[in-house]
Amino acid sequence: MGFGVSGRWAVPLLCLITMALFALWTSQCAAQTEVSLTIRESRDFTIPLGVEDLRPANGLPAEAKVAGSIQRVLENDLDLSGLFDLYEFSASRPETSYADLRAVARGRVGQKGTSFYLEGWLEEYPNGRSIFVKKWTFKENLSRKAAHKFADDIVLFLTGESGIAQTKIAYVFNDGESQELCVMDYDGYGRRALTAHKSICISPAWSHDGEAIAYTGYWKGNPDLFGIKRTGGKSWPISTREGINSAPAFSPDGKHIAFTMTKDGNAEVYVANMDGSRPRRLTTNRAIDSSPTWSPSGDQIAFTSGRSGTPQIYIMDADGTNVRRLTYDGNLNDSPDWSPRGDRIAYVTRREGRMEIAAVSVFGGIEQLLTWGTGSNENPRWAPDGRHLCFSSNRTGRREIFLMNDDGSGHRLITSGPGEKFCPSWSPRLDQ
Amino acid sequence: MCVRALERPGVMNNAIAFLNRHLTPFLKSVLGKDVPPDGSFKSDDVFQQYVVLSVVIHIFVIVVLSVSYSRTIKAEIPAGPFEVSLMEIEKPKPATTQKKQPPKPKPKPPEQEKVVIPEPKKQEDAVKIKPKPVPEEKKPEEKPKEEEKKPEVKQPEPVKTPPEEAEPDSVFSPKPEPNPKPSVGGIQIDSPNFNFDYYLAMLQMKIQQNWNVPNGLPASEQGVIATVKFTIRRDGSIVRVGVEESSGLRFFDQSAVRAVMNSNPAPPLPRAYDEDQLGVHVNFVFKEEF
Repeated sequence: MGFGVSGRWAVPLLCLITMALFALWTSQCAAQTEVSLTIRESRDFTIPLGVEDLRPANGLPAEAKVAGSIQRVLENDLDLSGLFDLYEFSASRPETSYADLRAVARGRVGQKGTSFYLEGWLEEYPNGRSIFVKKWTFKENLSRKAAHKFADDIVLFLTGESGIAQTKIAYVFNDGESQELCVMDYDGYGRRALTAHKSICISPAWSHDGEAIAYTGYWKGNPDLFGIKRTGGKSWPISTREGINSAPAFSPDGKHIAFTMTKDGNAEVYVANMDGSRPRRLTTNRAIDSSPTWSPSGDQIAFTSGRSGTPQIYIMDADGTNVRRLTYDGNLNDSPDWSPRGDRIAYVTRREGRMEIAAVSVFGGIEQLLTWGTGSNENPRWAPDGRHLCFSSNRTGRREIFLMNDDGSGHRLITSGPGEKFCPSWSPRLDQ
Repeated sequence: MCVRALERPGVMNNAIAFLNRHLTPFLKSVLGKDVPPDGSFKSDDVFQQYVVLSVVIHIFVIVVLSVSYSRTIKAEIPAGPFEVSLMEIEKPKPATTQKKQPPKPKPKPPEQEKVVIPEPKKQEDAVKIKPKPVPEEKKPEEKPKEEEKKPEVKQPEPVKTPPEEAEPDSVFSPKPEPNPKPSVGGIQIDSPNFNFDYYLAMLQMKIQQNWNVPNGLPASEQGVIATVKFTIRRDGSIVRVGVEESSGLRFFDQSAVRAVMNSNPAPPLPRAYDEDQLGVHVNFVFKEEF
């Protein structure tokens, strides 16, 4: 050998180098995974936005009243978006008061016959050039909707993505006698019941287009899976097989529904057609497998499994292969929901005897607790913008629905009145 | 962790296949003997091969163990002293001189998009909505309760003291620059008419949020810089993304391109801008802070 290394040593030496390189490569892979954890570090930007009081176009008292109510809804929407630093804007104040401002939302409300219109615009500050202008016509009872539309467009023109002010939240309402499926606007207004089964309903889930809601109902004696239009009406059966039919989740392509069944003797995850036909079993484990949730691309499903001895979150490909464990902290992790942004999964975890909400990167890594020490918090569900979550909490003494930002800040109670509200599910953006 | 990995049959098989594939030619060249295709050696050769194999496996285990140990340690080290920002670099650009700005349009320009909000359709085939359990729809005037806090609307504050002289590589901030220029914090645009600072700030913020800076970048005085160019259409969709100036590091360029792709759609172009698209150049700068 030219290097003066005897043959006997050359082989292990070269292999050693190869192995070292291999090991280095694997550590590089690990380092890349680490990067994905730092995505969130630059999230804390807010946009300084001025909001001027909406003016009555013709000075009518009715206009002023509608303008006032739109104003409150609009400011609430913009505040809930978590994107803005809101400033009360008044053109009469000197420019120097608004050194930070980039844009100002302004508008006026007019009455025309029996209907009203909102003319809203966003302009650059301080030069006043138009970013967008729109006019919405509506009956007085729909003034909230007009405000939501204005808010969503402001968010759209500043971020590129429409806001979530026109979304809804489905949830379960228990008045002590029965437990019915209800829907409300995302800000807690406009609540209405969809079902009147005088029975138990749980685990609502929205279809990808927001037109239908699937849920589990006990009104035929067995926990069966039903579908119902979001406007209400008659519900239709999706799966009424013997045993539990629960925890539905529609696929993002609108073709399939994943859910849990016990028809084969043990809770397993199945994927069926939208009408519940042709169920395919994805899990074959003696432990419980349940609570499926789809990745936004539709090619993976996260679920809860007890296969390690305690309930933990797992991810598998949408055909049931390639199962890997996602959570390792705590001895009870359940109720996963995949972020519409695709990068995180929120779930419930038991800590010190309480249920808390946590989120973890889908690539694994350190979990982030989003709630801590205030009652039991359950059932996290993402908003379609992936920046907010809704969940139920009993911190006020009974279960109510709350919203929060995806970093655990900005908890907001949105339900009130008697009865328990829980099992929330956030709709996709609705075309209405 | 490593031991668990070795228990997996796939790992072991791969390792053996790997050894077979690479070891055999080596033995051949080193020993100067032909390795029989079926792997049968004379007894001496066989012994020697097993000794070699054993040594190799031991070394492999030690190396993997030490690397995985150092890896766990590494995972706990915080991201490090790196501060990353999209920052401004000088680029020869003819159009930096201020073109005449179009006169201020009136607050409410003439043609607006008009939308009529329809009454919701009456639901057909109604299951009777249970009046009692569902709380009445709250009137907007109703006081929000308990934790439901009112949106916080700030009163404008008196003029703030000018921002401290920020060091050049932490320039990124949605705050306005003291002297707004057509190129804000590393973003340059093709159209001299486009001087909407708000837009560039929003765009920069969005790209910054979507930029996942890769690990393993070299430390250098100048930093690592890549320029990505793309076009934004009126509706905000981003098209024709490409690397304009490579950093020389492919994975860094790719991270920059990905940041732009993930920022699609960008905010729709402002109404007062009269062209249908906007060419944009963004500099991605990685610099280590000492």
